[in-house]
Amino acid sequence: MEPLVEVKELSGGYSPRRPVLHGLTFTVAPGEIVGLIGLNGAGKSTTIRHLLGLMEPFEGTVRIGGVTLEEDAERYRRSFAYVPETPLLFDELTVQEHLRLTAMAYDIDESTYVERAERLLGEFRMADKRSAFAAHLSKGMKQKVMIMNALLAAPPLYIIDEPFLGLDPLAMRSLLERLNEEKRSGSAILMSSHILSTLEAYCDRYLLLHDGRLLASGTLETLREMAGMPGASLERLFFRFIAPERNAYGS
Amino acid sequence: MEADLEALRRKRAEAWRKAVTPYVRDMARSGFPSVAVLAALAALSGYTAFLENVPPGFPIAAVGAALMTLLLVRSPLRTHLRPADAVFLMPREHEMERYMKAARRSGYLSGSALTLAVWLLYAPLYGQSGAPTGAAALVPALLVLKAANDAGAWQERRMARETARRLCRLLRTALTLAAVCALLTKPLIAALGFAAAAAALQAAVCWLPARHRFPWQRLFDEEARTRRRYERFFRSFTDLPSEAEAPARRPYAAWIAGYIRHSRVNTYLMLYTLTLVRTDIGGMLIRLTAVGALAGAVTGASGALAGWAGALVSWLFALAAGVQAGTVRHAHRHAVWRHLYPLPEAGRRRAAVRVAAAAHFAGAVPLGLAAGLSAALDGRYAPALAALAGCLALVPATAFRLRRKMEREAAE
Repeated sequence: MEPLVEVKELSGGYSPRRPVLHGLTFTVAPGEIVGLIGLNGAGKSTTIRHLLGLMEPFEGTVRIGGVTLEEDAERYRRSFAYVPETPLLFDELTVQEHLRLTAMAYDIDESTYVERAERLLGEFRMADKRSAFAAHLSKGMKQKVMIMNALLAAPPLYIIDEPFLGLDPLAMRSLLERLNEEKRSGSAILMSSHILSTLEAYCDRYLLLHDGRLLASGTLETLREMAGMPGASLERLFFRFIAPERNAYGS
Repeated sequence: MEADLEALRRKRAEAWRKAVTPYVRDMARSGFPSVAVLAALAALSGYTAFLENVPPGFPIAAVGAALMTLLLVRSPLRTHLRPADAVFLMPREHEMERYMKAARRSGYLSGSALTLAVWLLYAPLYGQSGAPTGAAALVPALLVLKAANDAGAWQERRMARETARRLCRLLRTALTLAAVCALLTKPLIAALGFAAAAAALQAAVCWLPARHRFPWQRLFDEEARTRRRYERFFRSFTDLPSEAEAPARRPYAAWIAGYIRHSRVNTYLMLYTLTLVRTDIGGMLIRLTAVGALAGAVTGASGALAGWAGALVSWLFALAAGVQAGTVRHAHRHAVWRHLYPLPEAGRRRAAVRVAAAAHFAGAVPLGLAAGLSAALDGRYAPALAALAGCLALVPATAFRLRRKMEREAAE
């Protein structure tokens, strides 16, 4: 199966003299959830910014949907929806207007938009907030609006950065259920988070970044084999890979 | 420990002054001060002429009372407090008196200076009213009233309930108006007695509602509002990053966005329409149109310059409305979604120009009609027609200029 995301030898960051990322190579295939994990400053957000096309690689290529941003910007952008770590909303637009704006931007016809918007507003218990300005929402509600916008677009790929920040437990469950549903329908999900137990329950593969390098990648079983820790949890594996000398959780 | 809080406020005030200095320079270069000085001189000359021939029965005391009450009741406070202070200064709430003392002193001094300046202008008119007390003798009373109002305003800021705060402010305004009326029309001793009783009543009423020990949130909001006001003013002369401002719903204008066809090409059109309507860009445009229409109608009806003065005023306001509507192009310039939506950038620029032109047209029509109709009713048809035609002609001209400007900005 053709990978949806194809990153080859990506080196990037803010200054070519001090790159943050060093030769990253990985893929994300349709129908899988990939967890992007690492300590603060490991390069997760920089990787995501490169995928979004907000930063120029110093070396290497990033392909989404088979094209680079330069080859076909519109196809590239249409292939994904993004949920940022900090909600980025237009203060003067209501929740419903954000959904309509996304539907228009992603060329979703009006009847599909209405149907999807109603479902999402119900699922995330935001129906009574549909006319509220983004500026007047709590942080968790703003995050819900970001998630609803991404799900409304129903793209082949979701790039999600720390989606659980500020979400209540019910919203977290709704999000994870919907992501599973999207996965079953063939979408790919690249999700960065520090909540390793949740990632372990939902992700098919993991990309472990450390100091801008891909320290390990693969399924949970692959990581266990690499670490020589059969049956270990993702959290224990994470500590083994990141700080083997401290071995904080024992063997 | 308290001294460093006082120094902190001083440092913040200094940083603020430093930050706005370049914008003040831009404003000075724009020619605005010259226009303002000319307008002030024109107003002063009109006032002098008026003083020489005050119509009999002119309500001198009522005008003075309204003017002075407005200045006395208004009690702005520059605290330079920011939301982050909830973390860093809140633990030192018990020491905040020192911090606030400097803010109150500066507020009182600037408020008193303004009040006295206006009193100085009003004094010649007051002198013709035959009042029992001289203008100079009332100065100390006005200064005490100002201090009492500032103290009252601080107590209102502390009130936990918005309704109580508003009622107290209303009562303070009414009592100040009554006290100023008494000072302007009654013998000084009696008026002072009344003012003291009014102040005591206000103090007693203010004592009743539940109050915060220190109104952090209200001060944060007030400071943010003040910063936004300065920012809006300076943005007319220079490009300046904006702080988030609270959107206004404005359903009487926002319904238009609902009629924008659901289509990919209209994405930015919808976004910019709602941005213009709900942010201060639209608010300012509405105020400008209302003031311009009134000014155009009054000038047009006065028949000055054979009716052409009204047309001139309407053109000036239509021009200003076009400039104001064009500022919508600055919105969302730095929004990350601009780079993420699968939409061409040229579409964003086109949408901004279309929205600005539509808003300009919506302002130009009432401006042209107000000046035109008032001149037409006076039988001056040429300036009437010219007022409307000129306002409308400015719309495509401004849109063309805006498009060129945006293309230039994009190329840079």
